[in-house]
Amino acid sequence: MIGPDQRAFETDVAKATFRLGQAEGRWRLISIAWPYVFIGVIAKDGREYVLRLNCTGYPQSPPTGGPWDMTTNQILAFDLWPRGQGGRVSAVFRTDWKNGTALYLPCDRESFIGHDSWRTEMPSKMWRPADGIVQYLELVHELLQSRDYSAPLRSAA
Amino acid sequence: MTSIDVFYQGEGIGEIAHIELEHGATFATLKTSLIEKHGVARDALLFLEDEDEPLNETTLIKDRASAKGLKVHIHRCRHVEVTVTFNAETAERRFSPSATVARVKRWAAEKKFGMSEDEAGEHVLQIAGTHVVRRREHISVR
Repeated sequence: MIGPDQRAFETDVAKATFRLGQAEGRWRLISIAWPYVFIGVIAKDGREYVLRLNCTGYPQSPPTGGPWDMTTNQILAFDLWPRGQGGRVSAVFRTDWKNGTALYLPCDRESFIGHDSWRTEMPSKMWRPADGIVQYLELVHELLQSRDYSAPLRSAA
Repeated sequence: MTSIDVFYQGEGIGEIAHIELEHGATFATLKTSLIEKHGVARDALLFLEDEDEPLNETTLIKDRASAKGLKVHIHRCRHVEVTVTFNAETAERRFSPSATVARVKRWAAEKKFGMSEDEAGEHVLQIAGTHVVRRREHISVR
């Protein structure tokens, strides 16, 4: 039997806003192994970065997670992470933050802890349960499409 | 392709919504469906996303759709008057109701306030009085 958080997540990914992102090739739902969901987000060079997001308590609680390697079933090797050129991508895809388990975003559950100031510094990036998973994905997709984005140090095998 | 995915926004339709239409459907078919589903006004106009002129309702939807489907807007107004303020400067322009927040932001940040694309990326366009930013939302939805 699935819980209310999983039911809410499955309702959200059936909505038009999520499906539009899939239709436009911005992201795709790969699989659900609750409380984890695996979603590929496409970068401007066509690379797909898979996020493993822990969605416990969704949507009242924000998701938390980061890049994942579906082949080895572990956190993506840091030299395969998207890189920035000192801008927004670098600030969010931090390999020195929580051992790579969370993106440094206000709408990430683990990263928000201890960052109450983000409420006033970046209110537009605070988690909005009504927007749900699409909010998280839009922020990540925008970063991966930005000029700051550059390819990983190493190409995937 | 047996049906066409149409994603739509509009007056009185809270969030992006979706409908599948048959290959032979026209924009008039779509409008009738939206009137029935959302109580949209009969004199409302249909626009393609980010296009300025309303659609001819006799046109077949398949003639304007891509493999990804189609994004449209329905609204009684032909234009929305937009005012953007930044650093005590104000820019004003009329947009069609189907203009995305992203398009308005590009215009304001890069054309009117002289930002580079990188600089613009560091800013968000917020509807006055909210903290909500939805780049793909049409400007007339709020």
